[in-house]
Amino acid sequence: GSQTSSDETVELTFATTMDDSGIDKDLREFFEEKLTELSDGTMTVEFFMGGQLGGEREALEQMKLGELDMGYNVLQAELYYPEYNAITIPFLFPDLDSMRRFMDDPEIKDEVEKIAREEGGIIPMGMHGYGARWTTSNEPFSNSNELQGLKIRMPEIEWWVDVWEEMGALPTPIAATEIVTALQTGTVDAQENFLTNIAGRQMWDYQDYLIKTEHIQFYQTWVVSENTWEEKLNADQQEMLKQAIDETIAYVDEIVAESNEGFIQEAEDNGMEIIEPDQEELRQKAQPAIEKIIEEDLAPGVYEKVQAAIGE
Amino acid sequence: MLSKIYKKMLAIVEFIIEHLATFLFILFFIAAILQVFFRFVLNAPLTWSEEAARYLNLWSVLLGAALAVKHRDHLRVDLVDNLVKKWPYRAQIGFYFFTTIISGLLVLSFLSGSIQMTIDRWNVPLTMLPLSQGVIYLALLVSSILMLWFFTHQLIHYIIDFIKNKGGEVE
Amino acid sequence: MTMLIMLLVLIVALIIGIPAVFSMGIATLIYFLLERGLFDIPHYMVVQRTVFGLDSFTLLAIPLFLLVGKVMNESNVTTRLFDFAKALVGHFRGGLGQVNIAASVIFAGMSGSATADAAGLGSVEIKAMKDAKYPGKFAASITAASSLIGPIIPPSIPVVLYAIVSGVSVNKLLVAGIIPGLLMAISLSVFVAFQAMKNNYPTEAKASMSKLWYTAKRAFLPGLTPVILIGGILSGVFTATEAAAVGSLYAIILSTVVYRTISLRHMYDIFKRTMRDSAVIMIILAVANVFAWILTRERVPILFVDLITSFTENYYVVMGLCLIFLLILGMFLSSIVSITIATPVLVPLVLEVGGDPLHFGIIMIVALMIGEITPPFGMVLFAITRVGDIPFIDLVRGVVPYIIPVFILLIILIIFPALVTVLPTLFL
Ligand code: NA
Ligand code: NA
Repeated sequence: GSQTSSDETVELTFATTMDDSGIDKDLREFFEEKLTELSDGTMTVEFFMGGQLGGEREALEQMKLGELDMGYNVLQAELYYPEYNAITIPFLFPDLDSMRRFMDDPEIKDEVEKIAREEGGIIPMGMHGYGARWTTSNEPFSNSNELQGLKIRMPEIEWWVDVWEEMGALPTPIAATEIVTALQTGTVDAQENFLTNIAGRQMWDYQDYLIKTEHIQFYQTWVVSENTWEEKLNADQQEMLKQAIDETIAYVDEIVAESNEGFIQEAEDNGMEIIEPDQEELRQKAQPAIEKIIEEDLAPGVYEKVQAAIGE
Repeated sequence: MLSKIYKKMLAIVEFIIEHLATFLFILFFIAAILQVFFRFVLNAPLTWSEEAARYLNLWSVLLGAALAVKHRDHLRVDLVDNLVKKWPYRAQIGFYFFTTIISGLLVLSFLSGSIQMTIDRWNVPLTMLPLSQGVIYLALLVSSILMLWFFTHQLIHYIIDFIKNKGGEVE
Repeated sequence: MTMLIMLLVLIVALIIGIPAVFSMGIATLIYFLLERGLFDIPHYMVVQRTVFGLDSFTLLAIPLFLLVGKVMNESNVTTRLFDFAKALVGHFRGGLGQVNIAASVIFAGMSGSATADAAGLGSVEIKAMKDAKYPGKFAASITAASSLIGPIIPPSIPVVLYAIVSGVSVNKLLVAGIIPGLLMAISLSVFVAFQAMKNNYPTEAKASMSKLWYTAKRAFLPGLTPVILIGGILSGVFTATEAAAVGSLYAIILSTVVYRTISLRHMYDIFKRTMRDSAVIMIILAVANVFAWILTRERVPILFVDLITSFTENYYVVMGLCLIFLLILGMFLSSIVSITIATPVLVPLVLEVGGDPLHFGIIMIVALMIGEITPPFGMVLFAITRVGDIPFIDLVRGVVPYIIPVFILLIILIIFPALVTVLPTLFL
């Protein structure tokens, strides 16, 4: 419910730490156009891409405080509902669709939305994917034996660190802005990332091998500030915003596979050797850490929902 | 009597924060060294050292910033002092009273905001360390309480000096 | 309009002597007050941006650079460095003036600010020059001018600040300063030679090989500090912060265990003073983060870029304008405050006209260094009058001519950007 009448214009602020390039640029333009079209120009968005207003933690806080209207992130799950955050466990889900089936399970969905509103003052609105994360390295590996002792840059996500440690690598937390320097100087030998980023940063200048580990799908979850949703938007506007987001997500699904193929080709053309490792063997090796996370960190019953979503 | 107790209390608090901030600074230094040592010498990178170093330093800086209010160490353009020096004594006091009040306004904002954020973030965890994100905001809360105290202390001294009106240059 | 009032409040607050951190604070509060009203000032935003302004690993290089410089200063290795520089270049025209510059080059490899050089090495240099009957004014002013090499050659506190605000890789920026720092030494050296000829200053006797060898041996261990710091960064073994930590540890071991010039108690005291100095610098950076957030939200950098580029898009004209702006800013504000305020506004402009933020960072820092030796607010001048026991006005008169070689260097660096970018491109 809201006092705003639908003929008034609404300006929304949008923030993400993703750079305004590649898929993000495409989807930003698509979303902007779609919302203008749906709302007949009465809803406009001011975009702050590339972390201009701060990191994910800061952006999420700003959304809770009503300083920011919306954006897409990943960190909210780890901060607010880690016990339902099964989609952040490496090697667990085979694809984005199964992750969505899990998140869309009525019980999970209700619980997550309830906590996200209560703890974070945000409403999750669905996620778009970038394909799986691959590994780039100066040491080739195709199984866990060859992975032993590899210094790999890892974002500060505890579960990822645990899983890679279990496989025998040496995960090292390094700020995203210093990845290139760390690779150049040999602080780390490898990094893992999604293909857009690997190509965007021209990793072939620093790394010899592109390894199809596909250890996890990379995605961003759209979130809208609860404050914005309840106070700033009327029912029509809520509907229009929801539809614009849904259509943008569908649009991303359409373009992502093709764009990733292009990136792989580009990496190969620039001299990177593509390695297809034994994913199943890596997964087996990581299994104890995965089981430990499921057992200790997930809420009871969540793993059953995961299995149902995967179709096991 | 009361003033003696107050002075003692002030001295004790100053002593504690100065050494606490130094101690945290040394811990931060050690965390940074351990990070290098484990990565390069033992070839077993630590995952928590970076976060620990950051937040130890953050606490140290914010306590140190409060201390700098007490010692009037904050960087400033002091050209105006030469001009103000020539004013009548009470005008000088009035001027510095005013600039101190203006400075103190930021501290009030800090205080109000950090109370809110510390409470709000108390249930949100940090990434690698088993601590609450509220702990980060708590540093600014503590720092702003101290700053507020030191500013108030200075303001009261200006008032006393204004009443006494002993002449000459302030400070 | 609100933005202009905010900037005006900032300027007035700075001029009437309110500390920089609180001046920025009051300016942001006035902004929020005008935009949202007294009861809706978002104090949590002020707090969030301040706290997150401190939440960076790269930033941690600053206290560690301060630490290594302080330890080196307090352990009396400055005398060793000066003696070595004297044996090395004392016989050149300009005598101890040249020694002064050479010593600053060596010391620049272990200290990150001009004031650390001026306050530490400066006292040794001025005393030695006065003892050798050089005019006090000359001694003090060449000490002031040469101390500016300190933050150009890595380690460097201004470089870390610029890297954090601009997002340029800190390692690249640090390495980029090496050639400009050495060029600064050369241009000062040529200038000193001219001055020495004109005023007929003495030179030192050429040191014998054994004397040179002896002083080199004595300077060897402290001289390894820059090797660790710069070598660590250049070879890419360490991040800037890690290099600073290792460099500090080396300096601490050298002074407490090898030379035993610093007791543990003294060491604790050094930690304490470093903590206090770094708090004062970093809190400014933290509050400047609130300021930067408002500028971004209000799209000021974009508007500023549009405004300037509507007049001209010529790279050299824009660089010239930036240079004038920085020189004025540098006169009134310390380089720390200037960098935090100017970077978010100027870097987008430089990018727009095809400039390189890496190159521009070094230009900005060299330009702001001029402000460190010009009145009214030259931090180096204050440090030198204190340690050199020379009247402020004499020092100002003596030091002003040295702006010429530094300015010429700036022009050269603008015309030949490769002098800045070649090393980082080659190594990193
Ligand atoms: Na010097
Ligand atoms: Na330096």
